[in-house]
Amino acid sequence: MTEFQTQLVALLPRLRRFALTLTQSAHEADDLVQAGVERALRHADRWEPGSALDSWMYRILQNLWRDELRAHRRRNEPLEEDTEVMGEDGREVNLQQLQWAEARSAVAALPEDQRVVLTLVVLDGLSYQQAADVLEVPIGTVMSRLSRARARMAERLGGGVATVRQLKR
Amino acid sequence: MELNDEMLCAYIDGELDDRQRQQVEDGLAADAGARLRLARMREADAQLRAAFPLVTTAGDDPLAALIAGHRAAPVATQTTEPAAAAATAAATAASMPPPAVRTPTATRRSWRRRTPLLTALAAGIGAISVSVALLLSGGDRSGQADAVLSAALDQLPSGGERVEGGDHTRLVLSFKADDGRWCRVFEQKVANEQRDGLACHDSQGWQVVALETGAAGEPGMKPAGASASIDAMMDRLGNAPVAEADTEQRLISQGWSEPAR
Repeated sequence: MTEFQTQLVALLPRLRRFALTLTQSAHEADDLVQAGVERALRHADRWEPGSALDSWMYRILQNLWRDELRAHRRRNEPLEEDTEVMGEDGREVNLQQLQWAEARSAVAALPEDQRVVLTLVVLDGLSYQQAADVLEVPIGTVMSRLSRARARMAERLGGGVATVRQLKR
Repeated sequence: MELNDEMLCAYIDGELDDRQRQQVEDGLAADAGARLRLARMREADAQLRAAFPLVTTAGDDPLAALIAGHRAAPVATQTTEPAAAAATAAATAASMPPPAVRTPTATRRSWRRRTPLLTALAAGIGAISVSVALLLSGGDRSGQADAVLSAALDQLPSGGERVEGGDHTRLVLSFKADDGRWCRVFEQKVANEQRDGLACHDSQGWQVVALETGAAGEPGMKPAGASASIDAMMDRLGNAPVAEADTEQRLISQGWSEPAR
């Protein structure tokens, strides 16, 4: 395999997770990753060796989702359970699973632009600059989307403490 | 200093320089509310990560196999490589589980690997540039085949098969030729004859541009290279990848005449 192919294979788990948070559907995430990989293979010559393949792929997925796939698909299909949650025992609904479900629904409630930034920075560990490059927005936009997303996530998931607003400006 | 959410986020994400970080920490020491918000953001982050773990596929991953099996379009024609490519394709196919994902981007070289219907071709006889009209001249049975073939080329997705009057027609793949025509590889079993063909769509409809025939029977005896004329013609038509299923569907609904994007 070429360097490109090797890196692309290694990237698949992250692409799938990105697609899952983007599309909110395991099925659509599969379709999106498949379409993204096919496009990447067709245009492999446009990737500059040495540059970040993840950013390049995220951009492809973003564009595919925005331009093509989403237009034809139903929206807001609930995230399919069971695909991510793997309990050791099907009978037991444990606290862990409840937390996961709560976290996923908190993500699902976010606007898409906030969801994507959250995924790139918190899950994938991209720097603000890298996220800005992927999304093709200014770094300030990344920061404001991220802070709003995190504030909302914290509100829902941050524990049973009374809500503290950020109005100390 | 004021500690707004953007500042706390930048602190969490390591986006601050030393001086800014010190400022945030000083601010946190004096601001219980900010400490609480920070703690809750970190807690939310942790739950988010737990809810979306990286899933590494256990066992064979069809998509990984698709990537691994992909070959860049060759720049020049080559005569010795196909055997190696076919071997690679065969190895890929063998290691793949039942198709959880379609694999339209498999190299065109491997098209025969995906066609279990017609396995026998005792002798490959190249008949390049035969048109559908020539098939028509073979008698009434050929005429029927023409109608059947055209309809199949128009309507069937790749992998699709149609049986009419005991004759089988199966579509193998589609691709766009460099001259802009859409072309399709097909297989037929008509009476006792096996046919492998390549047809391209132009303003007159479907033209068979390569056809190979042989006696049916002897399953599994199709010799390597038997479809050399089809391979050669595919090379002459360019190196575009195999059309994807959604592209095919669009073309089927539009009569194969629309120039591709």
